[in-house]
Amino acid sequence: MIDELELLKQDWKKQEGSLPHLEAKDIYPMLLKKSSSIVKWIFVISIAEFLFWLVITFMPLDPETIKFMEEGHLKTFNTILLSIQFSGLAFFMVWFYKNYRKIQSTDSARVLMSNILNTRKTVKYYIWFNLTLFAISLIVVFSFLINHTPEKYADINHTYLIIASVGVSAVFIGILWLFYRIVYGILARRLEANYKELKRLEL
Amino acid sequence: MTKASDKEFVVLLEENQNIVHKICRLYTNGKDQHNDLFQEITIQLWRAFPKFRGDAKFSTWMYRVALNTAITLYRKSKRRIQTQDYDSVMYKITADEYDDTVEEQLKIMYAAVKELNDIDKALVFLYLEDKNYSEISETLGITEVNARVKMNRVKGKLRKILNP
Repeated sequence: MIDELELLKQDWKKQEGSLPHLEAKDIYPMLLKKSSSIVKWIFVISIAEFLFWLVITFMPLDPETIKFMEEGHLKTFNTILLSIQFSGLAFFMVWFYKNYRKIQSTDSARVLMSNILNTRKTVKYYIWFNLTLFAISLIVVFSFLINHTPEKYADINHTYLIIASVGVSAVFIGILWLFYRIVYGILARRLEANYKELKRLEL
Repeated sequence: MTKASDKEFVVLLEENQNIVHKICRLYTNGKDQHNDLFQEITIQLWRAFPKFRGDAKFSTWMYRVALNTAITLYRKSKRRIQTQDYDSVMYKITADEYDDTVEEQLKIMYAAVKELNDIDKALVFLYLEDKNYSEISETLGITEVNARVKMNRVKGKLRKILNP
């Protein structure tokens, strides 16, 4: 029996005559256009994520909170937290940039996909790093509140405070997780599927 | 980049544009998507061009960048997806040279290839372009043995479609 693909191969060569043909004058303007590749979008969104956490860190505190922190010696804690956060930011920015630079369209499909997914993973780790710090700071602040409840909150039940702290953290983490799923889901679903397919071939 | 390299690139792309058009036909539906992907591949080729050292043939280098763009970097814009019969896109071959059975078989096979997943499509494309298994494995980043195994599976899949 004739190999079906051989039949297709013979026919495949004949399609050249029916292909569109662009002149040099049509190609020049294309060189000036901007790419809309997923790498570009992952890069833009990642930078937005880094900036988001930077803004959160720099959010000005109201005087009452500053007073409260000073009374509770939480200022030292805040300074330590900020140092960790900025060291983390610097570390992740360098890591992200290094991974981003590795993305080359001249690599094999598998290496290219793996490099793109690694770049994305760096940002994912950065987000989890921040969420962990956020959770730690909430725990410290709330446990301080429970032990040194300011007068105006004295009536509030401790259980409420614990529930509130857990609730706030859960909502915050939930929103970020959802955002993450939607944004990267839209961007990288196809890429991930193709990468899995290539990896499956190697098993 | 210099004007000279602009010109060199455009001349090379113009000469080898069929490769890109064939990939666009395989991976997109409709003229708008075809043009979109052609545009993106051109940008990616242009960006990578400084790294093209001329030790490989331009066309060989082009296969890799163009396929990478189609299966990895390009995002199909949903609003532009058009359902178009493959007859008008893929199957423009001089059918008179074949008897009806062969013609029908080809039609079914083109449609089946269009339905394959992105990776299988890349395999079939490289095979149809007469690339050997060593080139196929290098382009996709899998071993030669696995490329062969996978290709045989795809052949089997197509055979089954033709002879249910």
